[in-house]
Amino acid sequence: MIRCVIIDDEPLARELLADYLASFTDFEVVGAFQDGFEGFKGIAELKPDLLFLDIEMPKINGFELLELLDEPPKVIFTTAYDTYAIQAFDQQAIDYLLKPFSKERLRQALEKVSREVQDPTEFPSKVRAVSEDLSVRDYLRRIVVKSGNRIHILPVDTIHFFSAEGDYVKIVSEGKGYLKLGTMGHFEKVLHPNEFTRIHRSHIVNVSMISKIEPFQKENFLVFLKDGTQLPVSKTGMGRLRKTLRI
Amino acid sequence: MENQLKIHKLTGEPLDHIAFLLMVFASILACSFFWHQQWEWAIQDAIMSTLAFGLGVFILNMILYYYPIGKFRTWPALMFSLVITIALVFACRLLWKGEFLGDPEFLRLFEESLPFRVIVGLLLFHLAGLIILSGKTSLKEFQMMQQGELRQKLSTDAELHYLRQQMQPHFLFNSLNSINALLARQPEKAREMVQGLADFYRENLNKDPKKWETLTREMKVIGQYLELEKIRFGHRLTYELVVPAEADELKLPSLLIQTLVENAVKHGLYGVTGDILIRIEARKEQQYLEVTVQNPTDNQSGKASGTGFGLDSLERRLFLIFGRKDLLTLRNSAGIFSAIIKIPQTN
Repeated sequence: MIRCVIIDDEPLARELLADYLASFTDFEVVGAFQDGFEGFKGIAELKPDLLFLDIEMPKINGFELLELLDEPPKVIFTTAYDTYAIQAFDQQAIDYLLKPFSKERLRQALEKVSREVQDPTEFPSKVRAVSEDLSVRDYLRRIVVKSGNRIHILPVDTIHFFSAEGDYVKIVSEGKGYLKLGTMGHFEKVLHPNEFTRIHRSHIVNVSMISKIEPFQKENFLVFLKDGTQLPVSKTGMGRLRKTLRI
Repeated sequence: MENQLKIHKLTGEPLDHIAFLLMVFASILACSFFWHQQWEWAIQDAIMSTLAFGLGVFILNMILYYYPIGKFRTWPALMFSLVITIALVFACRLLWKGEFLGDPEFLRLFEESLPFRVIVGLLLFHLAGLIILSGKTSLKEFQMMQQGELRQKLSTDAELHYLRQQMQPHFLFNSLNSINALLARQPEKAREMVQGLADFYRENLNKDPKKWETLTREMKVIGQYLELEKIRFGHRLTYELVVPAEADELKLPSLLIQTLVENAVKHGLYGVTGDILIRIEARKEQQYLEVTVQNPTDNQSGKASGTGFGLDSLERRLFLIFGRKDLLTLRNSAGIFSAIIKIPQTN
């Protein structure tokens, strides 16, 4: 039995999918939730094998929810938007169902799931960070992170800086640090270049948070943020910073 | 644009201009010499006349530059040339009268040659004027052509965008999905939604954004739209329409409020998690119809990408219709986002 969770903000859409799934004996719907917050809690509790995930949802979207999960279940996206296909593909989703979809189309998707279950080696264990390369259409305006069981939405203009911490990136916003799986390269790409600058191999800074820049040792500099933090600036980082600040 | 034009005229093709002036100089020199067989006089005459001619062309250029193109036709151009020629010839004559340059014999010859000078000057200036004018017209025409193409492209883009907006594919597909869900359990409700969807689309597709509609008619479509959204989102969505009788027959450009309402629903539904109330209130405020559209909001969630696009285009549309930028006010307080639109009532 494959245990499924549905996350969709439209009650009728949840109902329809549950109706469809009722006739597939190998699949059981164990929970249905109307937004990312409830969904996050539900997934932690129920530990489903398969997730039917809508993309456009209140406050945090389907992709952002997925980023928060340490061990994401298999995912089938269900949405009326065809513009997210690349991003969904990038998330290693098993399938991408365009609403309205037929039962037959659902059957095909479920068959894929069954195949993956029988041969789990095909399935990648970790979900990569959202929107690499092609799928970046707009610069990031907010970042969704969790600490413990709580989800935080950080508007990018409240973020002071990013620092590399092993496989994670530490995001410091309003005096608090949050860890998120990802690379500095990824964040450098998805943040607006006029607002954020990679000043060092392991630091990206929000330029509006800088209070002063001072020379340090031979060819290096230090930036002082308004909150008192000091961050080292490498030689190339200084070049980038000069470009962003036009100095 | 105008500036470029000026630079082009004063600095462009200087070699051509100098060659032309030299030709003029040589011709005057030759004519003058054949007239009185005096090299000294001929050179003086040629220098003076060429300078006068150059000055004349410069003045002509200036006049044509400041004179609105298109109104300047052959006859006025001829008149200008004539006036300039006579003025310059007269100026030359005055200069030569001076003791140190003048020679009674040369002065007599100069006076005898006056008609000849005026006629040649007139022809030359007229020619110069036409050349200047034709250059200007073609440049201007070229720019106008480019602008025309640009305007055409902009309006096509706007039209396409409008059509796509009108179709609202996501709304349509999600609604179809809802109908699909209703078919099994509540066929009556499914039927109701099919009808609602059909009415909404028919009404919308028949609408001409250039036309004005009564508030009642606009509100009817908005009501249809909100009913459909209510079926989709169930108890999460409630709405309030407040339209006093005195505002019923007021007119406004179609689809303006609908854009605001769609925007409010979108940001209400995706901006907060709980139940949302969309409130629409119209009232008559002196010479204006004032409509307020409110939705709950949460500042913490950070702006979703694409936010404000609907409002931006609405603002542009208002500006195109009324030429004013103060008709749309946005307010955000105590978790409620309000968009207030004012429609001037002309009659």
